[in-house]
Amino acid sequence: MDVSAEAKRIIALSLTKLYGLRSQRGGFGLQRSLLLSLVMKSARNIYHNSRVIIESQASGPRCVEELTEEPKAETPAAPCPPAEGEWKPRLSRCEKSKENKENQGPSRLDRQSRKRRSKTAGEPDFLPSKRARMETGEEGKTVSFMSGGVNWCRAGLTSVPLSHAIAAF
Amino acid sequence: MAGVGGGNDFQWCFSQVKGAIDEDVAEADIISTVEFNYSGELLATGDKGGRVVIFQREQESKNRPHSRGEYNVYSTFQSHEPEFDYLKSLEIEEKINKIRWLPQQNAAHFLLSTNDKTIKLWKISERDKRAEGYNLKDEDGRLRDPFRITSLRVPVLMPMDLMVEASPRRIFANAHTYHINSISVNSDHETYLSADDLRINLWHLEITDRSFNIVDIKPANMEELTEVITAAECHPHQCNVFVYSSSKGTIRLCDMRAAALCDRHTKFFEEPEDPSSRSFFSEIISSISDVKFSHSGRYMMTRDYLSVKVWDLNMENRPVETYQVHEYLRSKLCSLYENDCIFDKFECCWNGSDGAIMTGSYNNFFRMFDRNTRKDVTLEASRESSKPRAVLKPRKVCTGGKRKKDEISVDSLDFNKKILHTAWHPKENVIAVAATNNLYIFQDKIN
Repeated sequence: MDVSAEAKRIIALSLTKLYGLRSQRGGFGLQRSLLLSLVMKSARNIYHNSRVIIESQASGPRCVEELTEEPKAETPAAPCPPAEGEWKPRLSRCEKSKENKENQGPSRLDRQSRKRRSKTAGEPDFLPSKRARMETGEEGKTVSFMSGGVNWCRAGLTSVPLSHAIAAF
Repeated sequence: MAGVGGGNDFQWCFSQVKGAIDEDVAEADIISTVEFNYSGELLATGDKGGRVVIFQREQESKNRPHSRGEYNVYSTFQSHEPEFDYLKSLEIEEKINKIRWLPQQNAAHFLLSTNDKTIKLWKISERDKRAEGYNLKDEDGRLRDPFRITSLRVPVLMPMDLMVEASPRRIFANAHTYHINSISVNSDHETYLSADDLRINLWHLEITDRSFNIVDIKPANMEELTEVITAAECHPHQCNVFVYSSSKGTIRLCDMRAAALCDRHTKFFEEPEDPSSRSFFSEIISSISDVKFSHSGRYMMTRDYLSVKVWDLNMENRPVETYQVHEYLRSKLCSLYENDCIFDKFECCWNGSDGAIMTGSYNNFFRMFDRNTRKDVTLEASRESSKPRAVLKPRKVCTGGKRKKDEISVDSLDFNKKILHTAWHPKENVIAVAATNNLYIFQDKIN
């Protein structure tokens, strides 16, 4: 869960920096915006993968089997466009199994994927919120964690080490 | 004490510091580029306010033996002014991104200076004589009444106080859509290249209304953009060869004889990524911020965020030498991303013999690496150690555990004090280090 929370934070931070570039004196810096979008893309992928893994672990063994088969069926994804303040959330891996639904019976997974889709169809929950933040406790923990001088990926607080998550995709 | 740059007894000493001492630094005064000319007699700096300051080295004299080769202000001029692109509603910064000297061919000196969009050729010349005795005008410049001219005279050159004039001789504009990051004078002394994020243009020094586009990596669909050009340089001897680096950590060497458009590289330099060191910010820290050919032309050096690499032009699959500049920052990348320091573009430079290399770091530290002895040293540019001829004491960063005396811990580093621009005299052990708005000059100790 901490991995996805950190990914959310990195995405929000990256978006803020991208928005800030637009008002920067001297105009839109192409190199920096590209690098920011690469970081955001990585964080987004980690965020979604961590959510999928966590939800698959919670939903049962069948979802795990379909997950392991998915990478073989999928073609390599085209490079994602560098986001400039707008991007759309990718479908989770489990949702893509709907394409093969004629070969599969109805399952708890499909029902859960529909629920997930409706949940993600709204505004992504990692965009900077304009409401007062309620997560001060979690954020404080995050800051103290980072001030320890360790990349957020490294400590053993998560069940999914970031290095594994990155290697997974 | 062993040193770097000139042998086992080599020591670096403070020589001079230029710039204000004020705590509040005006952004316009921040030095953005430093460059020695070919002889080392002149040292040029550019700042964010668009100004160029040129220092000239004093001739050694017996009367002042201790002011051996001091650099004093020779000329100051406003190179670029802020402009506004009305079509795009964008301001064009006056910050000087790069200065490159032309080889001297007569009494005057020429340099190229560039901001994000426009390159200018400046002529710096001395005037120590003035013509007097004109026929048509008085000494104060007023035109004489033609009816009062009853005889002709030949104007005579009279000595005057030395005046250094800087005049723009050429303006190379409107050729770059994106921000110019590099200029490089070719070894033919007739052409030069300029590079922005996506394109590289080849200019003739005499022609301002056109340039040849020799590299264009702009994709048809900008959403497919994956890398940008970060630096480019001409080969020091082969006028047909140049290199450019990318944000992906790759370097491409191109030969202009192969094709008019050098989109297809002749050589491709890339080091395979170590999977064990893969992190969230790998793309950013692998981006190359500077590329420099050695004086010999056999090697080139690249600077990424954490290291300096020396490449043999004959070997593309990996660098021949890698030097870690500040590896202790690898565990701090997340914090450095938050405060934008991870985007800092450090430069690097060779010494005259290609035996040593230098680059900057944080806390006003700069690092030197001796390629022969494999020794390295960390020095600091600070006002505290600015006494004349004071020997610079090597600094050390404590990476963990018990901090020894005179060591500084990683968490105590001041990331606002960064040395991005350094230059090494082409022939002697004299270095210029830009620390925010101050220019430090260090030289070897006279034994």
